[in-house]
Amino acid sequence: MEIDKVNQYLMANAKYFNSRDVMLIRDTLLAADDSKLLPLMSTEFKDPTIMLIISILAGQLGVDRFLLGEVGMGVLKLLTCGGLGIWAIVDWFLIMDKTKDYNNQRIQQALMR
Amino acid sequence: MKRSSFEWLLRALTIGSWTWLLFSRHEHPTQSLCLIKNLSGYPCPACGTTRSVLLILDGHFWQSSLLNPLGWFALVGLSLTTLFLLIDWLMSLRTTEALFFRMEEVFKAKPLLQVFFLLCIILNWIWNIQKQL
Repeated sequence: MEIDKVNQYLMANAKYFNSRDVMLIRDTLLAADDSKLLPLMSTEFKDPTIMLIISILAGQLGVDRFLLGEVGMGVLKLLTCGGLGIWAIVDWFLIMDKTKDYNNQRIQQALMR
Repeated sequence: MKRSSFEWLLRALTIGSWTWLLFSRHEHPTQSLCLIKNLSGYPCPACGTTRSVLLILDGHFWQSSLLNPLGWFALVGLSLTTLFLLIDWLMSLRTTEALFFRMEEVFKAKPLLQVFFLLCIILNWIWNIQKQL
């Protein structure tokens, strides 16, 4: 892909990814051909800030984990009352990073399609 | 053998749950740990599980089911997880992790099962609110 397109894409979507992953994503995008543009544009990402709000409000019910596709963890969190409340609180601090990792997986999947 | 963070989380949850059960059995804490209940005043779907498990352990099976049927699932799940984790630990296996993710895959692949599970949880939640647990 052209460097301008890649930079434009990253400028618009950088908030969805970990800063450590951005360079790798940039390299992968530059190496990819233009046919990947459509799957890339149609890939939706989860907003880490929204996920943090969901985690604070409904984290004890495991909703945050369900949304990230970790159904088993979600059920476990729901049935243990958010890990006696402790896991729910720990997740408030981890969920943004987890969401960014999830987004990274999504973009890698889109590029492999 | 490098253990995954999942296994550590499961170990912490198991040890925490047994400790909480022992503590509740001897100290009978009146203050709930549930964030939802403490903040909103309404019980969460899992509220009453500890009391329910303690009732099972005391032999009051019917009362336990009436308080919160999730107690049965919690006790069976906790016992099985402990057993599997112990076997894994003693024999250097990773069956618990493999089994957990296999079950997750099966659950994800069956939308009807998901709807049934969700319905059960919601109905139980409504019942919990009615009972004012």
